[in-house]
Amino acid sequence: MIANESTTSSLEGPIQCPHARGEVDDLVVQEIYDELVVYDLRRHKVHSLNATASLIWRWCDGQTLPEQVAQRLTGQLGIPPGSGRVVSLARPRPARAG
Amino acid sequence: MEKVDRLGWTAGLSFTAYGLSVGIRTNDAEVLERVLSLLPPKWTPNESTVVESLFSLRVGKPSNRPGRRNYHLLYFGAARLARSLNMDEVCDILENYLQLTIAYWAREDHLFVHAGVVGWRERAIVIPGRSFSGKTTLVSALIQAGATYYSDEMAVFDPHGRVQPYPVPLSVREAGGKCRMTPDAFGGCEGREPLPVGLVVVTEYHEGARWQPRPLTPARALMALLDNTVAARRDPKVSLPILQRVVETSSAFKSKRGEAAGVVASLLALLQAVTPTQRPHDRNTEEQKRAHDSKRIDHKLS
Repeated sequence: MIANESTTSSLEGPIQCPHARGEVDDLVVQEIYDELVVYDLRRHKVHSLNATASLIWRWCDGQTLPEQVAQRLTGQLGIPPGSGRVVSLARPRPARAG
Repeated sequence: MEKVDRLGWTAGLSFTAYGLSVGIRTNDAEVLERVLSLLPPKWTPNESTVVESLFSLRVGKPSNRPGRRNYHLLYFGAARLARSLNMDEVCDILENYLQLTIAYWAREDHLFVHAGVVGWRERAIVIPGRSFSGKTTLVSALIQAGATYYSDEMAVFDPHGRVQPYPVPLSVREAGGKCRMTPDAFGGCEGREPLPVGLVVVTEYHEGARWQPRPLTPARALMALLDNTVAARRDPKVSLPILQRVVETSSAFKSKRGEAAGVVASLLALLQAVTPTQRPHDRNTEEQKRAHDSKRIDHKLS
């Protein structure tokens, strides 16, 4: 169960990002150290993902549950258990800039 | 286009710059000498009369009929870009469009980004920004401090992420309008060789603003460069890897700034502190510490 109850409804079931939905042809993903820059060729929008958001992006494969993503974040980045809010913030819409 | 073709063209020139062939035709051969001064750096004459981009400049001759004025007209293909009695104005527009057309359609081995660029000890400082952001003022202040001039308009990156010289005369804005100056007017000279980028500086002039440089992550630096890339939408699959190479070997900072003279020493110190092999966001230089400390001191840099 995700810690932040207000986000549970949107976090049930595995998470899918566009790359997991087979929309990779519409994206240019540039890896820069531990960050990502994602260019959406259809909408001509660019997103910058920091290290945490980049990890979540990679794990949004349509197979991994939000709880598992939260656990991995705890393991890899030392983010405290119950990091569902972090996952929910990163998942639906990567931080847009530029 | 046929309508423009019928206007009666008697002279012209054809050239290639950054892989794009361009033609300029006119009804007055005398104006071509002036047009030559508007061409971008590294242009070479082209024998062919078939070009990819065609500009047409019709010079409005004085009229004998009272009350009638003949305008100067400028076309790009069939589209009219300018209609004016002032030839200086028309030439400015022609120069801008030439620059943008070439920047947009340049071949894959050149990526154009709106930016001022100088060289300092074998590395470049790139200052991305649109017109009126204060690029030229900062570039000229850096030249006065001993930097080499690369451009006050465009950073031209090669596929390795190095910046090439694009030495158009500096376009200095004064009360009476724009004034073209060469770098030797500021005691400097033009760079000749491509340079790796050491520093990306995202800054804008604001009267009375304090210079408080904050480090940007490489991804944020890339976003700032992409925001000023002329052909950003044309082929991101080409432009993003080039910009990635730029930001991975450089450090990036962002701040508003006041007068350029108060910023130059800090910029050169920031560049000096950059070690190319360091991961940019791992750096914590003395200059950054000073910049951090300076936030606590309430003073304005002139």
